[in-house]
Amino acid sequence: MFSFEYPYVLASIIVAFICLFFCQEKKLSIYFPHSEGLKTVVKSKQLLSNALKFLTLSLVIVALASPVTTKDIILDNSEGYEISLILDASGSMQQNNKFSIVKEIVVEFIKQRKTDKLALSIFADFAYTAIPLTYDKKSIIKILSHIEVGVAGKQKTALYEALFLSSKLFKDSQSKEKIAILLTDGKNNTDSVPLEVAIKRAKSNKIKVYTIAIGNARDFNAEVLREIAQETGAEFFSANSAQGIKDIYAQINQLEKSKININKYEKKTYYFHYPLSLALILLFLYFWQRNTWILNK
Amino acid sequence: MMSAQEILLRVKKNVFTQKSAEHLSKMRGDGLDFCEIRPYQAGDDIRKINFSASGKTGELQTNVFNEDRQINVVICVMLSSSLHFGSVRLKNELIAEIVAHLAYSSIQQKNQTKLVFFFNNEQQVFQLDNMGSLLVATEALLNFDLLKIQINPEALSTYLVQQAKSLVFVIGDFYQSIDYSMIAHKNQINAILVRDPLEELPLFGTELSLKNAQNNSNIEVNFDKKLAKKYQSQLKIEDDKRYLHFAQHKINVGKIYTNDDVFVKLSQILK
Repeated sequence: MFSFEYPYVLASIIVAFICLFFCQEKKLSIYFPHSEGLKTVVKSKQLLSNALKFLTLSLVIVALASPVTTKDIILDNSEGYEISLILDASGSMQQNNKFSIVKEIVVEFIKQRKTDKLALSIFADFAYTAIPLTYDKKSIIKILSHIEVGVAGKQKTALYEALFLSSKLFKDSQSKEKIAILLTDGKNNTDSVPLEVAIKRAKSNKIKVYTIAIGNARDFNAEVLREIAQETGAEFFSANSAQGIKDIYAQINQLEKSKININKYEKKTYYFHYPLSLALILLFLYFWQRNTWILNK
Repeated sequence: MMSAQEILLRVKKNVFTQKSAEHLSKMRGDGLDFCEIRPYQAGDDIRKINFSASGKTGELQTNVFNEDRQINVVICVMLSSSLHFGSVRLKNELIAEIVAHLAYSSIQQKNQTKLVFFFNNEQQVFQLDNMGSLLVATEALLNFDLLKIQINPEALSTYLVQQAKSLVFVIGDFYQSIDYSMIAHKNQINAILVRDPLEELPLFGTELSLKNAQNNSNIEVNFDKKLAKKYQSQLKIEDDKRYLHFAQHKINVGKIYTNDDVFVKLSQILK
């Protein structure tokens, strides 16, 4: 990203412009006959001289403001979190526009996890990984925006399978902190993966599975979700409103706070030498057009 | 700066030692200086009929003489703030020396001599009869406060139209155009341009703030060789236009610089 390290210095350009007219150096003054006739001869030259002076000063000020491009570089990700977001995209999520609300909240959550690796899994009739663990937040947000209810079917809720599948994502992970956030509004009604196997897999991979139940309490199985959370050392949350879901994600965000900046570096590329070089060239041009005593011989 | 007395001493020395300073009028009149023979015209003096030439040609011929009676000499100084300049000496000091040379020669020849300063809308007239009056006029010129003074181009014409036929010297730096068509046919006019070498080719080689002595306005100029040459050529174009106007009205013109010998230059211009 292009920016200036000291942008307030740029305000000096206005001062330089004002000074061009009002802070002129005191020159030797003499009476000269027919000075009116000189005006037409010197007019164009004075304009060029002033333009060169102002441009040179402006470029020096721009150089002083230090133009830079900044790029975030994470050298060691072992200190960062790895988070798998598991979202229910079954037919029931369409009710009350639940899925869209969840998507918006999850996008905000993704934006806040600047230094963490994130993955996205979707489940309904079956579970699938939309995007594996990555630092590329833009891609996750983009993919999430394209996911709608029904992409994995509408009839069933393969909750355990999603947990199992998500656990597999952490198979080769080096990270100390592995988290899964499972959001659902229903009960598991497929038998592809048993609950015990899914929990065991999560535990063996040392994944903390936060479970979030949304909607009516009759629709989801709070006991199972609480069990998953407790077994993996996490917490179970439930909410029946958009604000409630938002608060849960904010809470998880606070609970699992990353050590920001520890392993994150900003790679800055400085560009001050370009305006400075240009200013130097213009300065030579200014001296040349002034015909200093050397050139005037 | 030379004093008026020093200028007059120099003038006396020049005029006494150089006989060529003597002035002869080019005007036709009743003098003894023979000019030409031409056919008799109605109104010519019958005493001047050349009978010998008439006999030879078969028609009446008359002698024409140059006028050598006491003539009117009017020295007009066009004062302006631009005369407050000079690298060797101030232009108004040079004018004082020119005026002294012309006036002294004229007084010596017992001519009616007048010195007129033209400035703003005013005129200051000095009747020069002797060295005392010339000294006063020279001092007045040397001490004249030139700042904020400007030329009124019409004042000269207005003044000379009212005067008798005269030998006129107009002295100034001629930055303003004056129309001589009204007065040139009546008077014998000599225009003397007074300039400084540095004002025509301003090779200052540095940045200067140039002040207009007339209105105190400033102009910032970096005088390099290129700019000086450009200004010089522009000034030459303006001067060429003036010379053309002088030529059209048979006005004798000459330029004297502040580093010139006034007597030598005047001799060249008026020969």
